[in-house]
Amino acid sequence: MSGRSLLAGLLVGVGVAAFVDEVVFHQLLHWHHFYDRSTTDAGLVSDGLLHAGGWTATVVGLFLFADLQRRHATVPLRVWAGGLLGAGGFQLYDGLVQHKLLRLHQVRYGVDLLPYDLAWNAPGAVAVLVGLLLLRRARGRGAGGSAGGGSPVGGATATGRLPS
Amino acid sequence: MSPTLGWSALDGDRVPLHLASWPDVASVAADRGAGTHAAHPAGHVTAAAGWVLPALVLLLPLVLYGTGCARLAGRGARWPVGRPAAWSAGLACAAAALSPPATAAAGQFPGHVLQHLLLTMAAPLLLSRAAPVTLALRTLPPAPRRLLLRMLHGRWARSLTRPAVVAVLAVAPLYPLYLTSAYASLHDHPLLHAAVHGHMVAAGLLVAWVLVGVDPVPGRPPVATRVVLLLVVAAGHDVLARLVYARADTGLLGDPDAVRAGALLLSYGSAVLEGLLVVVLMADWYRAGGRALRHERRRAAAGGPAAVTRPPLPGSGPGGGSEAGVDVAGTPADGPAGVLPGGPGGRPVAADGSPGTAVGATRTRS
Repeated sequence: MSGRSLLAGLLVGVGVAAFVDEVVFHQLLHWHHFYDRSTTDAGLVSDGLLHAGGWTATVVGLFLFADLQRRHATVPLRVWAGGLLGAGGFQLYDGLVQHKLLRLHQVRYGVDLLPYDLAWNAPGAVAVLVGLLLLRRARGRGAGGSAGGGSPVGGATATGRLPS
Repeated sequence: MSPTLGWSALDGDRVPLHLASWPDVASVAADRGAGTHAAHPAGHVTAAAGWVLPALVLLLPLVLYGTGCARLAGRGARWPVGRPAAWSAGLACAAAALSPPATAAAGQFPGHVLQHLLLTMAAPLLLSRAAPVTLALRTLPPAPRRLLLRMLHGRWARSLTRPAVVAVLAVAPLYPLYLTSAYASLHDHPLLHAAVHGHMVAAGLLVAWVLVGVDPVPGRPPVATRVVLLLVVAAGHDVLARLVYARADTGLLGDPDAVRAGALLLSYGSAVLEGLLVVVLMADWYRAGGRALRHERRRAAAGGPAAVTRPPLPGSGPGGGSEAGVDVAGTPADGPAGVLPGGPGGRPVAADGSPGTAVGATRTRS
């Protein structure tokens, strides 16, 4: 179930990052705008996808996680790795592709953008790096523990522990 | 919106009871708001007529569904109480969207969006949880039931439920409608207007049925595919809302400020409703997985080599489908087969109803 753990983490990570972006920066601080006049159509498409995807990812990720938990099949390290990769990846995508490439909207208006952009993207990059490190460590551990136990999804890993 | 349009369309005493009456009812109600109807002798008649369509939409299916439930109860069969509740709530949503105040509000873009959300998203979601097709299959006399079964198993039913077809039907028509002058010109063509709205309602029902319907759906895609389908539909709505927002100043859809407000409502409203859809879809999956898990544990507790023959079900629980599968399959057990008209009639329903989901359920997913 290690693949499933990573996936659950990824989805929840993306969802949490999207949620924070929406609630904190759009709704509470009003730094971000739904649309500004420089926004390209590609930017709108991308933002619409992320907005819809954030919800979906959170819900699906949480249900996957709950399913892992009740099967006692969670690999915590992989969930964390996935969460960091998901959240950091979202942050970087939002900060680099959406804000800069697609010019969707900026972090904040009427200010010198550089520090804001750094503060936006640096944590994302750090999260991705830490996520990758955790993933590597999990892989190292997984090789010692259950070799190849992940692939038959409903199978060996989960059920092997059930009778005990 | 113009009074003349509304009255001319409603001239004569025959009030159209189909969807074509939407724009007309809207303008009638708008006129009432402006106080112009007082001078019109037939004003109160047409005002009352505005309530006929919502009343029919609410009451007719409610009575039919109630009759079915009563028939089941008379037979001593179980039918979860949440289903009639969902049916009533869904019909109430639809009726509210068609009521004169709502149609009057639909003259402005936010009102139109609200109507759209209620009719094509909220109502279908609720109705799909009421399993009306299952109820019909269990309570209809043999002849109409055979007809219904033949329709469900027809080739077109199977091709309609293909994910790509569902996505295109549900999302594609919205773009030319809201991004070109089509929306404005619809108001001059009541029949076309009715056809467009009819299509949207039908597409909304299709989406809800394929994604979370409790009824068995022929050729229903597995859960992972359904999540992707939902994502495509949700993104389709959200992208559209943003494009509409960005183009508000063109005035194609009316007053720019109203259009922007409507676009925001479309974006956030559909996000909430589609969020609910994901929750229902995944909760079904989770429950189906739970049933399979309990089954496994019981077998394991009984001891022995059960582990080898265990089906790989939990990963791809069929969601709502499995609930229906269990339910439909449970029919013969609920009441003695002889009670159903035509004796073995109950069996084919169960056998026909379930494979669409049960077969799909054995697919593995990683």
